[in-house]
Amino acid sequence: MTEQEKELWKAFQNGSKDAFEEILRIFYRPMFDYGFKFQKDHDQLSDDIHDLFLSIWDRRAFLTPTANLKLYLFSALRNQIFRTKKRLPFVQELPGEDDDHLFQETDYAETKILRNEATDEQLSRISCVMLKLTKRQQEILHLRFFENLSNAQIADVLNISEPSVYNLLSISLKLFRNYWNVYFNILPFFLFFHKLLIISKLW
Amino acid sequence: MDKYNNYHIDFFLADDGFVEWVHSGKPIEGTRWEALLHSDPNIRPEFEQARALVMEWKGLPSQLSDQKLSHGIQRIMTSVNERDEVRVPLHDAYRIWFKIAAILILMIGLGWTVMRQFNDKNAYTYEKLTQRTESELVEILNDLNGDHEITLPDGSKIMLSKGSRVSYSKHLLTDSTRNVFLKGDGFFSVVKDEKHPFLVYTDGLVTRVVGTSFKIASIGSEVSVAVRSGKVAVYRMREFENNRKDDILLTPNQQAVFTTEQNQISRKLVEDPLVLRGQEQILNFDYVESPVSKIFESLEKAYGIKIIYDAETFSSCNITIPLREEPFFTKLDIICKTIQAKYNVSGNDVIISGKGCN
Repeated sequence: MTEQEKELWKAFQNGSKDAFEEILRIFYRPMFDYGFKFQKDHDQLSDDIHDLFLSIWDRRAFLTPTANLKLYLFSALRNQIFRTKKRLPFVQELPGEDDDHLFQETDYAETKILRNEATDEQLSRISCVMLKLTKRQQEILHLRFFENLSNAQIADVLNISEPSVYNLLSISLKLFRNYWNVYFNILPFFLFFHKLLIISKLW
Repeated sequence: MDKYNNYHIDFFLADDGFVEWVHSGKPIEGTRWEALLHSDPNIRPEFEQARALVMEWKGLPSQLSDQKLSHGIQRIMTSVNERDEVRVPLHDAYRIWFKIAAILILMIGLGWTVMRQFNDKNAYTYEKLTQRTESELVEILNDLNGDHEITLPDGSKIMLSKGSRVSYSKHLLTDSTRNVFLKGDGFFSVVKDEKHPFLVYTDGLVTRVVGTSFKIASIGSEVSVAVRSGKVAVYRMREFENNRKDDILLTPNQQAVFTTEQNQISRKLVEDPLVLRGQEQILNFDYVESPVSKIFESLEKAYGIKIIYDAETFSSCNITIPLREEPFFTKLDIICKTIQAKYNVSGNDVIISGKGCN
């Protein structure tokens, strides 16, 4: 935690609203981007962040000083999101019998990319590949590369052991690499020939 | 295998040092990456791709527009300000009365909850539940000297143990949910019908499925639900009634144990895990000098049980082993003995620990 963050946290615990607002300015956006990895509903997500900060404000006098404010806020947000998700109607909570959680389906990347050709350019290539992964895999890659957290810090946020982080990360990366190759090493060729075919037909 | 096959993008992406180096923007000269590239130029494409990826990742656009950001912050600050206005300082004399009132309310509340708990304990027995239900019921009692299979109107089957009984609605096929009340033990094979969830009520526990097979056993004040195939959700009766759907989701080889007295559900592995339906072929061959990680992976797939271990520690463990019909834990025993490791069952997961092989 930087000196500035330490000062801010201390001032906030003593009831300074300015310090609180400053903390919001620093962390609101990273928290939103992180939370988005497993709460895709923008309104629900900002509600969750709102409620979390309000409860942090209410409990400010009882909070212990944290070693790393960002990690603390991330894992608190994570809990908050899962708590609200649990309250959703139960019909949505029981997945169908057919989706097998052990086997991530490797589906039709081609059809999807053909359909989305126009939107693809707007989406970044990484987000495009990320969408093929599970929420948990997206989450860990986000923490690793967007937030640049170390394995130990990720373990802290997710509340799991470091070896599990390591395993999860390597599985996610392997999957990421496979999709990445399909999208950007093989598909361009495919699309190229596809276009050639169309042109040759026109002749 | 070609040794450079190991240098895929993910090799670089998994390396803390690599990511840090790209972020630092320092030149490649003098780093170990220079030496690596020098040793074989073939890895350069993957290396460059990994480098570009790390850069691109860092620069991904945020999901949040500036306008939404300031709106979100403002909303929080407004709520914080409102909260402070509510807290008008109370006169000291009132304060003491305020405290006394608060304590009184708390105690009454506490007493009421305890009473409720006490009264509730026996509210969900088979007899009470079947009396309370509005629909006309059909009851079947197994008074034979052994297990007896019955078939429900929807085609679902229940293997009832001796002395156990079930009740179900006369209009099972037209009701919105298929409700079944059980006293004793039964192994259920439920016909899939997503529009009509199948609910089994056993003491204070509700088991909800779409189509699957599982066993419910009640011994004394304990009810256990063990899943053979498909997915099953269990709820505590009280929460179920109050529409608080705090469910526990079970997959094959997992079981939930519910204790009526404490009104608590705990989750664990079944005593003798079986190979998942449709996964039988995974295990049916000899592993010759295979990395142990591969064997664990197959076991995970075949049984749907998560095996946690440190991949690095056991990376040099290669073993030869025939895996056949022996029980799951016997397999684990054999493997662990071979690589001099230990296993523990923690909740639903198996954790392997040891020093690795050299």
